[in-house]
Amino acid sequence: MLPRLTLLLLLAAGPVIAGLDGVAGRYLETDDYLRGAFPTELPTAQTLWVTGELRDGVERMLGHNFKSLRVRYWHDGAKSAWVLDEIGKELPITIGVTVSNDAIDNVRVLEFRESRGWEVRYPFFTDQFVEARLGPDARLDTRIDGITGATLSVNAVTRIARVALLLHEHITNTN
Amino acid sequence: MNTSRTPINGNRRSGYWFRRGHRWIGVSLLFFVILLAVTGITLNHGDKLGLDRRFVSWSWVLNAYGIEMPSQLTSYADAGHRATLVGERLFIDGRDVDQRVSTLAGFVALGPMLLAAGENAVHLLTPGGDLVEVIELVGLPGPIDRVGRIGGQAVVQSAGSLLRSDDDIAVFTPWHDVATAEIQWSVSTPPTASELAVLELAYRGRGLTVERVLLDLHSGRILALPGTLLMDIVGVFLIVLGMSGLVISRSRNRRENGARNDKESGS
Repeated sequence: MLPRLTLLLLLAAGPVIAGLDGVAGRYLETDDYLRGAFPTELPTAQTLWVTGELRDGVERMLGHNFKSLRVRYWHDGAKSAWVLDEIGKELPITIGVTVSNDAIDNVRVLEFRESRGWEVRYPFFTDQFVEARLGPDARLDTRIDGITGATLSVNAVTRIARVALLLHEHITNTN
Repeated sequence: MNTSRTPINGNRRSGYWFRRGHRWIGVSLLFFVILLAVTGITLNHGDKLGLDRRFVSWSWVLNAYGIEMPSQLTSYADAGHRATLVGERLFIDGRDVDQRVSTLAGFVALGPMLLAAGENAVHLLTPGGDLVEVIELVGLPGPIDRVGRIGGQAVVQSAGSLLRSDDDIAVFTPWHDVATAEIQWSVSTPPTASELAVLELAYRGRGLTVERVLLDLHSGRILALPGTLLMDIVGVFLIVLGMSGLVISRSRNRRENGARNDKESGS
């Protein structure tokens, strides 16, 4: 009975111990992410002022005020890359999203600062976004499965994926 | 005759004291039960109530928590605006702009924008304190040493190397063709007494959330170790109260059943 109880307690304490270990951190430098997105030549960074209707659309997707007035992006042909921050629970998660032909090419968590929810960095989660597009109701046309215990981080990454698609659509239409 | 009466009286007396003790524990715990219930229910809905975004401004509570503004500040002024780093919080004209930076290497006003330089990024803000953009300066040889301006462009110095922005303060590129004498470097100056007073109010006012106070009330930590121990004792007494209530309830049921059986057999 006692060994079973000990094992049960250790299993239950596992996630807590992992969280305290500080798995959060910088996983990928912005420069490295962008060089992966544009392997042949990194385009010059451009800036987009998020104002007016675009800002309204972004804030509707986020469900709160968008912090920056201007965002930076890298654009070449039909492909664009965005590095955006979004709060999971209390601290911002830095997320890179590359969009190609109006569909997500990849999503990477560049930096995670909180003690819980870092599982969103793993490909088993981020790969779900590949080929996702914006549906008619401005939601992703692909179902994203959550991660138990990381709901807020999952929601943050999903929101940023939608925002990146909206911003890509905006620059494509403007150009 | 006497031998059969003594245990009955003894049981009655102990039952009386048991019920009396139960009642006294209940009355004594009433305050704590209300406190635990109210703080617990409020904390359960903390997200919706925005408790982690509401701040306590009562001076005596902030004093009790020891929330004081650090004495070491880094501050720069330019074109009628002042940027100050207090701890890791950046203040523009006494307003917390919600930017966390470890160092403040300089501050310049560039037309309609303000630029505050951190360790390896520059924070662009509007004069009202709204964030325009945080520009991470990738590939710097070291932390940013200082910032300045030349015309309407920003200049950043890092380990002897210079970077200059474009007119939109959007892109920073290495600058080799340098005329350093023309650069107006940002120089640290201490805030005035009135600016300090505004800063202190702003710093302390966002130092303690309502959620933290409620959590500490709920756990007893608001009174440090004695408070925690008190709540532990309350917890133990709540268990005792529940158990004694169960015992009293069972003995009463048994008594009532016995009386009913006696009545039925008598009739």
